[in-house]
Amino acid sequence: MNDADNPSPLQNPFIDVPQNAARRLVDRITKAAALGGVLLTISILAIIFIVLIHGSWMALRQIGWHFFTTQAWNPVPGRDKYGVLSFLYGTGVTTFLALLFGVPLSIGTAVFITRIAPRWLAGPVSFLVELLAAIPSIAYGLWGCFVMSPWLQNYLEPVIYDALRHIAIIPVGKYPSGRIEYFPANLVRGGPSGSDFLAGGLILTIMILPIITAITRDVLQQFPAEIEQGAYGLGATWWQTTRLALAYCRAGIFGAIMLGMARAIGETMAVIMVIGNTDHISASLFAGGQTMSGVLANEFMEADHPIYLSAMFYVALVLMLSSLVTNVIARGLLAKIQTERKAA
Amino acid sequence: MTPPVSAENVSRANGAQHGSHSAHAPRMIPVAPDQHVKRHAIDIKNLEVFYGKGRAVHGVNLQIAHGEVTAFIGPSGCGKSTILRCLNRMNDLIKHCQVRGSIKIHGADIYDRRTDVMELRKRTGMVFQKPNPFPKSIFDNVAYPLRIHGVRGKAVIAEKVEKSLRSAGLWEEVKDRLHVSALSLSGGQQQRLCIARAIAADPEVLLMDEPCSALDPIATKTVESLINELSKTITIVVVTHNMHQAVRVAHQTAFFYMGNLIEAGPTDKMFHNPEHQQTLAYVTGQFG
Ligand SMILES: Nc1ncnc2c1ncn2[C@@H]1O[C@H](COP(=O)(O)OP(=O)(O)O)[C@@H](O)[C@H]1O
Ligand SMILES: [Mg+2]
Repeated sequence: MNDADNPSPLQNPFIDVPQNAARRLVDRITKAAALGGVLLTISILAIIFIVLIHGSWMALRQIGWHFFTTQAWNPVPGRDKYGVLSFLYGTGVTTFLALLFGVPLSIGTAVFITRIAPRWLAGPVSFLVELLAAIPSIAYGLWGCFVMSPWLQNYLEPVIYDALRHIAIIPVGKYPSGRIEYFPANLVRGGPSGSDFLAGGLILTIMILPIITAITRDVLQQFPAEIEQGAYGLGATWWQTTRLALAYCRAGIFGAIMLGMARAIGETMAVIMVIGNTDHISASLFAGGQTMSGVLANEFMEADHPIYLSAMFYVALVLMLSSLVTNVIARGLLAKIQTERKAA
Repeated sequence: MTPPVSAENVSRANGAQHGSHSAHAPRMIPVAPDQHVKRHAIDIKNLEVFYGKGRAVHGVNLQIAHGEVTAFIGPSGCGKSTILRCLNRMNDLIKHCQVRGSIKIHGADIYDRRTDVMELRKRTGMVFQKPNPFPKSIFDNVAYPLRIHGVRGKAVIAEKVEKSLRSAGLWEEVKDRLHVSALSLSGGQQQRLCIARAIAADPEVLLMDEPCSALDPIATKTVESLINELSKTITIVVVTHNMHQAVRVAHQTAFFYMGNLIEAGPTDKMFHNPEHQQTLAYVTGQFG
C-alpha cells in the first residue's frame, strides 16, 4: 500500500454519507417515538396520582387519620361520617383467607407440575391453571353468587357451623349483649349465610391461584439440577429435596405471594357479589362485610356532595398506594433473583 | 509412587469402618462371617446399563478392595460416570435408564428390590464434577446429611461438622465463619466443602466424578492429597480424565472404552506394562 492510495482527511469516506441519511433518520424517529411512549406512560401514572390526591384533598384535610381508625360510615349530608375501618377489615380478612387457602394450594400445584407430574400431564395442568387467570372477574362473581354462595349456605357452612358452634376454648372479648365471646365458636356466630367473609375469601382464593402457581412453577424450574443431585446423593428423600428447592426459591415464592396479595386487595367485582355488602366488623366468617374496593364500586355513583366524593377519592388513593407498594415489593424480589441467577 | 495394597491396608480400613458405625441403625453390611475369605468393598458383576434402547455399558466386571483408591479412566462418553452412578443408584433418577447385572457393596446386593436407596446413598458419599454447595451456611451444608438422616442434638452435629471439615482440610480456613454462606467460598474451597458434606455421615465408600475438573492446579493438588488422606478409612472411586491424577492418587486403575472395561489393575502396571495395546495407547496419550 502506498500513500497515494490513502484518501486525504478532507475526503474521508466515512463522514456524512448522503445515501445513509434516510436510514439514520429512521433510527432517530423510532427512538424518539419510543421515548415519547415511555414518557406518556409515566405521565399517565403521575396524572392519576395527582388527580387522586387532588380529589381526596378535602377528605385528607378534614378527616385525616380518623379515616382509618373509625368505623362509622354515614354519607347523609350533614351527618357525614367517613370511617373505613370496617372496609379495611373486610379487605384484610378476605385477603388473609385467600392467602391462607391459596398459598398452600398454589405451591402444592406448582410442586406437582415441576416435581411430580410426568411431562404429558404437567403441560395440561399448567395450562388449565393459567386459564383460570383468563376468566373475567365478573364471571367469577356471577358463578360465586349463583353457584358458590348457595352451596356454601346449604352444604359447607352448616357442617362447619355444627362442628364449631359449641367449641369455646379461648375467651377473646365480650359481645355488646354482655355475653362472652369465645374462640373458635365466634368464627361461626350467626350461622350459615353464604354471602360472607368466607365466600369473599374463597372466591379470591380461586382468583389468586393462577398467578402464584405460575410464578412459583417458574422459579422452581430454575432450581439447579446439580443441587438436586447433591441432595439425592446424600440420601435425601424426595420431600427433603423438595424442601431444599422451596428454600432455594423462597425469595421468588415470596414475590409470587405478594403479587397474589396485590390481586386480592385490588379485586372488586367478584367480591362484592358474594360478600354481603354490609359495614360490619365481626370475627364470624359467616358475617357479611365490605371491602375497600367494594365500597368504591358500590357508592361512587351516589357520591353527590363534595366531602362524600372526596372520601371516595381517598379510598381510591389508599387502594392505589397499597397495590403499588405490594407490586413494587413483589417485582423487586423477582427482579433480584433474576439478576442473581444471571450473575451465578 | 502409589503405595502397594497390603493386607494391613485392608484390615485397617475394616477396623475403622466397624468403629464408626457401631452406634448406628442396623448395618446394611453384615460383618464378614469368615475373616479369611477376602471380601471386596465393591463387587461389580456383568453390569449392563441402557439409556432407552442405547447400551452405554457392556457387561463390566470389576472388584474393588477395602480402603483402596480406584481411578476410572477412559475417553469421554465411555461410561465412567454411568458406572459410578450405578454404585449409589443415582441412575434411578434418570428416566429410561435401566441397569442389569449385580453390584455388591460389602457383600450386599444394592440392586435388591428391597434396598433402601436413602440408606445406600448415606453410606456411599458422592462428589460431583462441579462444586454444588447448597445455598446455606458452611455449617448447615455439612450438617445437612446428618439432619436429613435424623441426627439430633446440637453438640453431636457440631462435633461431626468439625470432624468432617477437618478431614476435608477446610477447618482452619472456615472455623471463624461457619455461619456465612457457602457460596462465598472459592471454587476449591467449595469442592472441599462438598467433600466434607459427603463424608459427614461416615460413608464407607466415596464416589468422585472428576472432582478436580473445575479446579485450578493448586486446588487440585489439595484435593488429591485429601483423597490420599481419606483413603486410609474410606474406599474411594474417582473418575478422572487426568492421567497424572490417576497415577498420583489411585492404587488401582480401570480403563474403559466405549462402554467396555478394557482392563483394570494396579496403577503402576496399567501405566507401564498394561495387558492391552489399547490401554497403552490411551495412557500414553495416543488417543482420547
Ligand atoms: N442421562 C442420559 N441419557 C441418555 N444417555 C446418556 C445419559 N448419560 C449418559 N448417556 C450416554 O451414555 C454414554 C456414557 O456416558 P457417561 O457415563 O457420561 O460417560 P463418561 O462419564 O465416561 O464421559 C454416553 O454415550 C452418553 O451419551
Ligand atoms: Mg463423566
